Amino acid sequence: MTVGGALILLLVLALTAYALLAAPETRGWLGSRRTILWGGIAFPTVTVTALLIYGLLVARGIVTPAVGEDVQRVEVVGEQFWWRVRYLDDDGRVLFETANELHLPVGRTVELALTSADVIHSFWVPALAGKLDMIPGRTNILRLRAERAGVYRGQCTEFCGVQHARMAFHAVALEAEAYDAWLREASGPAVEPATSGLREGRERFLQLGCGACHAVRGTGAAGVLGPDLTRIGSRQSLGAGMMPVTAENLAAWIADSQHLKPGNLMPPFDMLPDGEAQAIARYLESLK
Amino acid sequence: MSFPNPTPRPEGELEQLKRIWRPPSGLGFLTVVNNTYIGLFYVGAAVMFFVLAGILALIMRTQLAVPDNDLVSDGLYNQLFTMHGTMMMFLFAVPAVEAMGVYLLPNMLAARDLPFPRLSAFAFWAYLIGGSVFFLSIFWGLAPDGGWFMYPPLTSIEYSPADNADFWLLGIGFIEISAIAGAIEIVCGVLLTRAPGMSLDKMPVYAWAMLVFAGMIIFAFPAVILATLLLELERAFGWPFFIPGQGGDPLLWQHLFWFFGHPEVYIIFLPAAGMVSMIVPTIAQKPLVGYRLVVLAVIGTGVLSFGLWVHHMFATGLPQLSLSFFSAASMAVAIPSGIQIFAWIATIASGKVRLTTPSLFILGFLFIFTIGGLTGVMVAMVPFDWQAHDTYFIVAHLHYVLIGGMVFPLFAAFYYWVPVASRRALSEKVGRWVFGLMFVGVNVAFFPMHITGLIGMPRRVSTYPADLGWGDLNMVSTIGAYLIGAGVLLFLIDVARNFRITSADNAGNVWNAPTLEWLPNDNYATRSIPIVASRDPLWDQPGLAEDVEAGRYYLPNAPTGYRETIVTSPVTAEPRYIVQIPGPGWFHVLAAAFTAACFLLLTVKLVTPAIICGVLAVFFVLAWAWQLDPGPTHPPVDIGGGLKLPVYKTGSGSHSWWATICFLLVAGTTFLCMIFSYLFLWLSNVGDWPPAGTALPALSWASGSAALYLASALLAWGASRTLAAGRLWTSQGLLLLGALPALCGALGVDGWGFWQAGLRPQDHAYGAAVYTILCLTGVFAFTLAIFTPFLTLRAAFGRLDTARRASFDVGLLLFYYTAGQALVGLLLTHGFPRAVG
Amino acid sequence: MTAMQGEDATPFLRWIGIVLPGFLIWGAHFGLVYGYVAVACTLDAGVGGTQAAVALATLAALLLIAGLFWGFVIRPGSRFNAGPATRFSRRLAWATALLSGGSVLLTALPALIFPGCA
Repeated sequence: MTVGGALILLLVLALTAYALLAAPETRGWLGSRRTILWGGIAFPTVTVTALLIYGLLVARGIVTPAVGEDVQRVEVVGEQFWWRVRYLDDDGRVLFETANELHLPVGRTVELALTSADVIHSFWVPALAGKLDMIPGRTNILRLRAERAGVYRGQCTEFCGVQHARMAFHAVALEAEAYDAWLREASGPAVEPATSGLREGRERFLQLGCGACHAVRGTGAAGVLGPDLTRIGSRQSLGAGMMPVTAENLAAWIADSQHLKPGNLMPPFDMLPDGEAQAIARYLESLK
Repeated sequence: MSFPNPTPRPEGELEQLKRIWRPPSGLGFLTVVNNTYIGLFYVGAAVMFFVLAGILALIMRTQLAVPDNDLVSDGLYNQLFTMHGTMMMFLFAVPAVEAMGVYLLPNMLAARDLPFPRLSAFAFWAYLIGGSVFFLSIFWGLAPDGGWFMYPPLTSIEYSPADNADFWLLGIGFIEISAIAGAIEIVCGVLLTRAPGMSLDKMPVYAWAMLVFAGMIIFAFPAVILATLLLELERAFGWPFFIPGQGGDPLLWQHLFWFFGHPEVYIIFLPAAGMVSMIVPTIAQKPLVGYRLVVLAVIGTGVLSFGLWVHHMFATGLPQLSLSFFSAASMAVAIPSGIQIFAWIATIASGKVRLTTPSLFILGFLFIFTIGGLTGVMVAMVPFDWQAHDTYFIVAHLHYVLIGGMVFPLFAAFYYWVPVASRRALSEKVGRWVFGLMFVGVNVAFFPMHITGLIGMPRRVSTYPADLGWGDLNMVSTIGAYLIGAGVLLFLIDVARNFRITSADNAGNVWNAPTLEWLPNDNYATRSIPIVASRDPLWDQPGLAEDVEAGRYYLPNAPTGYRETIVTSPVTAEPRYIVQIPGPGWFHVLAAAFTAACFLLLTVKLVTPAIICGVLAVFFVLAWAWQLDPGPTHPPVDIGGGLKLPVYKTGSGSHSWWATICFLLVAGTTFLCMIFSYLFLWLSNVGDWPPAGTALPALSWASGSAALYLASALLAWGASRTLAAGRLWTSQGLLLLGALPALCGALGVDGWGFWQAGLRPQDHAYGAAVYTILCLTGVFAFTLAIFTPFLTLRAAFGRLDTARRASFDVGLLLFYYTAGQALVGLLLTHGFPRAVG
Repeated sequence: MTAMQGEDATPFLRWIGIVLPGFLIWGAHFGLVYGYVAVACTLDAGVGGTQAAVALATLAALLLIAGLFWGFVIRPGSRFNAGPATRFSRRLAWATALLSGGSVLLTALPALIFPGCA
């Protein structure tokens, strides 16, 4: 298509140059109504009709689901400014929830149910599929399939507010066994803290009321407003694609996420005594 | 050849013309209405907003030049791109082409002025005041930040509680009204004030383009005006049109917005293409090849572009088949564009082009616009669009289309037509540099964006991480943007050095152009109004300029002693009557100022001052209307060649009738869009319409209301008949004491029926839709409640009688229309739920 | 040239009548098939019926364009077809009828390829 477009452009340019520069007696044939009838009507009619039919056939190949295939179903909810990801069983019940990361099995179709909790977002992993909007009150179905294992970046493509630029995520395509292993781990409770420092961090996390918004399965924290943190330490990024998940980044985020990502819904905890944010951060970082 | 009028012309005739058409001086200059001044101010203001919006773009490009930049905050960036898009579309592109029309059309059609000069002046002042305050909002951080497309629910009160969104809704909603006023003016100007003999087949392509342009505004803008109204009703009063939890649907906004938004692109492109079709024959010194096909292309583009709106919604998850209809229409519209491009190439081939600055801009336009058109066909392919949508590929595409399709032709037009308006032409030497900088700049800035988009960079992001490899391409784009900026700056310097406003001693026909705007000119336009016998009169009618200037053609004088021009028939351009055109005045200026103030004060929730300004605006509009409709003040006048024309017309021959019909088309389209909205919301709530727990009022309410609406129309008809029979006061009685109360009563019965049944607009989108349908009728009832007593007052002061009834006819049409609209509304709100339930 | 005192909007409306009906029918056809698909797919009713409905609407639209064109433009003695601009208007009428007929066909094309509401 790009080549065709470039050829048409060259044709138009060549004709214009010819019309401008050729000797009057040789370019005379171009200066008549015939030029318009052939160049301006016949030619575009044929190319455009052919292109339309081609485009329709391609689109039919994309939207038609394969019959009887074993698909993994996942619900993805766009929120200002992160992604809630829920893995579903075959009956559509929620198995578990995670955030800002989509794991998918290589070679198997994944059916994403896309919706939004607040404003319109749009789900796009350029390397895997075209984009599809996430519209509050509606559910759109996107089918995609990764042919090779790897980490693919995705990003919100519908302007959704002040932090639209920082609403990315990662799609992690795993081979079948690795995917099944991940699925087993991801659906379980959070790991128990191994050291007293980490236990201290968990204490502070729970005492401060972080659980009002965040869930860490297996602890008392069961909030639903913010991202699920059960395995935050194993994720590709913090803040929906902003930075790697390290204890320092987590501590900085807890202390003042409004500075890092102004307009996100988490209030700043800059009043915490020295070391407290760090302790919580170390605990969260250990949740792998 | 024998001319309509003998020479030499009598002493003092020219002096009288000059005196009558002289613009006021001093502070009174603000009251000027001549299209040659208002048109230039209008163009100037549009260029000012172009420069300001361009500066915003340069700030954005600077922010994006390197990754992870923090030159501007995320919030400010969002305001910047919202303002850039909004201003370029609403404050530059549409007003600029409309302004060129106001300036050029009367000259090109050899009319002395547009038929409603105060209306264009009103549109200009409203636009200048409203647009300036809108722009200044960015300095208070109050500029809208929801994107120029303003999608709810992001722009609903829950996610945008501050006044920023209201600035967009009220500010832009108001500027749309000014655009519609201009469009009505242009339709009437093109159809009714062409030079005698300039039948439709001899009309310049530019006039065709402007006619279709104005028609498109009339049918496209109502959709966005309604959308704006619905969203403001939701924000201000909680009527949940777009809130999913209460039966609303965010996609309704997108349908309405893009039903306007896609034609908008062609609304901007067609006038520019019209200018190209004027300039190309001149630079080739040959008539346009394929005139009829080009006219077909202009009309075809105008119509087909209304079938493209979902083209912007390919990623919303609609059924593939629905998307494909729009894909097909997007392909179909490529054909008229192809016709025009090949017509220009053929014309260039038939002549010998000199590479002057206008020619360069035309060639640049061909290159850039063709690329934009081809990428347009690419994104019309649904699967491709799923990748390209909302990425920098689209940013590249739309800038190629709009800069190629509109800005380059406009600059060609500036260089081409400045000799009509100025003592000196612009500099050819500087012009080449302006072209070079802009052409290179556009391609350096926007070509790389195709790639940036395809490798994954979304639009409307305030920054991007370094590790994605988007930095270099963005830096190149930024350099290109500054080159464009340098080109525009150079152009402004050229204008400052060479542009000297004049009408009498302009630089003249420096290009040997064939059309009438190159006739010798003054404030009164041409000395006499020529008979046109060709599409290229200055080439085919030798001596035309001298004969016109000598006063040998029609109306070389001012027989009624006022400003006047010839009204000709729309198809064949035969002279029909002389219209007396209003001159300078304060009322339209004050009306514009107070209308702007009313809207802007509403934005910041200063309700009481807003109401005061609104009342003053209505008062000044009425004061302005009071002076209109002069009546047959003068016996028929001789304009030459034995042609005696009346100086006043009523009924469907009168220009005020045509303007009213245009206005009613706007109103009717608005109402149609509301019907669409009602049905669309039903489709989102199938099986729950009206929602559970809401009862429909009994049918007796509907029938009672319908009877009263019918009665109001019948009484208005009776008023018209009795007026024609000379019974002025019976007529006034029927209208003021019969038709008006019947109309208001009908509306009251209609509304009370729903209210007593327990329906409230805040509960559910159903109620909101029903009450909005009532409100749309209410607007007309309110207008008539002011206008009918105004007519009675006119009757009392002898300004309305059997012969002088043009303003009465306007009221009559309004009564008929209102009753018709209300009856359709009744059928929908009472009949539809019963039919589907 | 004489002033036409009694002339009103009729000649212009007739002119519109010969030049624009094709486009208006294109618009009606477009709205109809789009609306039909939107409603049918929401109600889950007409799946499979969309092809027949689009075909029917397309046939009706093409016949209507041809019929109006014959009646207004070709038929001898048509009142829509008088006045000095005739030749120009007739040619324009031909072209608009062809362009809108082609656009109607192009609009209908997708229904051949997509049978349902996917």
